[in-house]
Amino acid sequence: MNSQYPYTNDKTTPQVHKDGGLYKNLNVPVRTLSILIIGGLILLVFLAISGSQSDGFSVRYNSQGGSDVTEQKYKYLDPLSEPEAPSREGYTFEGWALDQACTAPVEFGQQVEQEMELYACWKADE
Amino acid sequence: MSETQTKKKNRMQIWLDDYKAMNPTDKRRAIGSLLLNNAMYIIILIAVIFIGIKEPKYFSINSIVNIINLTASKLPIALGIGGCIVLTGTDISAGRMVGLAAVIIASMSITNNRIFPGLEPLPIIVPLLAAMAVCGCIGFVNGFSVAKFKLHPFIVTLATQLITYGIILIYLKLGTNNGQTLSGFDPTYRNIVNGTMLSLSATAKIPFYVLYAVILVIVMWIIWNKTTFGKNMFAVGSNEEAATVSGVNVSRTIIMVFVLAAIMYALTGFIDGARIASVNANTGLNYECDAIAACVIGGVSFVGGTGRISGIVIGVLLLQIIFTGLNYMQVDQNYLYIIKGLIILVACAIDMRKYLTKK
Repeated sequence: MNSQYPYTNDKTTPQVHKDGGLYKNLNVPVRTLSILIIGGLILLVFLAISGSQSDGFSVRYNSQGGSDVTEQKYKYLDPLSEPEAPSREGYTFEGWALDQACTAPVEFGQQVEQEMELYACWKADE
Repeated sequence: MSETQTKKKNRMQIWLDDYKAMNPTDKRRAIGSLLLNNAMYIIILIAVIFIGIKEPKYFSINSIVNIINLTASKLPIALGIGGCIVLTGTDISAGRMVGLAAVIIASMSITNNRIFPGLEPLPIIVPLLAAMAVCGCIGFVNGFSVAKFKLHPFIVTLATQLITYGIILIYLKLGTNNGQTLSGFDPTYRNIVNGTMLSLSATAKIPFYVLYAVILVIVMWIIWNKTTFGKNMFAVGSNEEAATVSGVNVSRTIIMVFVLAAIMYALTGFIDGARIASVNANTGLNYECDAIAACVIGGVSFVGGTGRISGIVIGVLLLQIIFTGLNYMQVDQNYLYIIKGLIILVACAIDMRKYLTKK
């Protein structure tokens, strides 16, 4: 608004002396920081490589008392497919949900973005 | 846009002119410095090329659209936190506030409502304004404590983070809900946010929230660069005492920055609820870490008074590019936390180094 204003993030206009903010009392040699940066980056690359050994995101199925359903592995952004339905004595299988209380039903076909655990929903036979 | 491009060119030209005038030892030092200051960008570029070769799907339209969508969904929170970092502070209550906003909005726009039994979905503007008001109040508490009691933002926002989490848990126990996940959203709400704006292929769809993120970027750019409040913010961040002497109302500026940030978190919650389609007490968990990392990578410095909106956008985008890449490489989720933490530390070390070499 005011062109005479002394403070701005615009690099072309003169700025007041900055007091250093969080680094006000910083007293480290630049060399140490350079070594830390390089070390940190090497560690990052090492972690990324050693962490990428797993064979995909696992989607586990908790049948909540029904017959076991084996877990499946998905690659990132693969569409989620419906597994075989479990069975349980005296109950009818109603579908899979994201939570134990069966309030959030699973939308099959959605893209898998992380590890998931799905819960089977049952209705007691009369 | 063209103005910033010429500025960039000028900075590059200045560097080149300086470089030509140096002796061989200084030249080597200058190159080393340039490489170290941009080490994060270089490593991300190498990683992108490496992952792209190993997993060609990474460069597919589907993957690029996914990166754009995730960037848009994480942008508002980063734009909010950016202001706090310009003040040399931060805000670690951001993620929980996103969660609170998402829970409040969900409680008023789900069809089978257990929190307020019998309540039909309200017009979406009502829950949105309610969430913005509640988050705004928490932001006010943050800002007021920082401005008036001179408490460090880390401590204040740590406290409000816990308080907000408590409120979320209690809120989710209202009515007959008993802390369960909220889902089954009103289709109008989901369509307004997550409806397809542009369809590039069967799976690559750009939703409306990308448009909202772009609008928010423009609004925040105007606030930061063209208003007195924005300039006051940079003044207070650069040097609080000097700002006070020049007649800037420091307390009001700090409070406004935190309230504005809180409103941005509410908007993130608004987008996230509809995007994920189910909301629980863990919604928004650790979002602030991504946002702070994005800001620091994007050049918003803890020195204070330094930062650009374009930097934040680039920071969020780069972080999404690298994390999508790591997901394609099937990197274990548990490793991702360590990698995120390390990225913040390395970005801070680079930030410090820049500050020390400039001083």
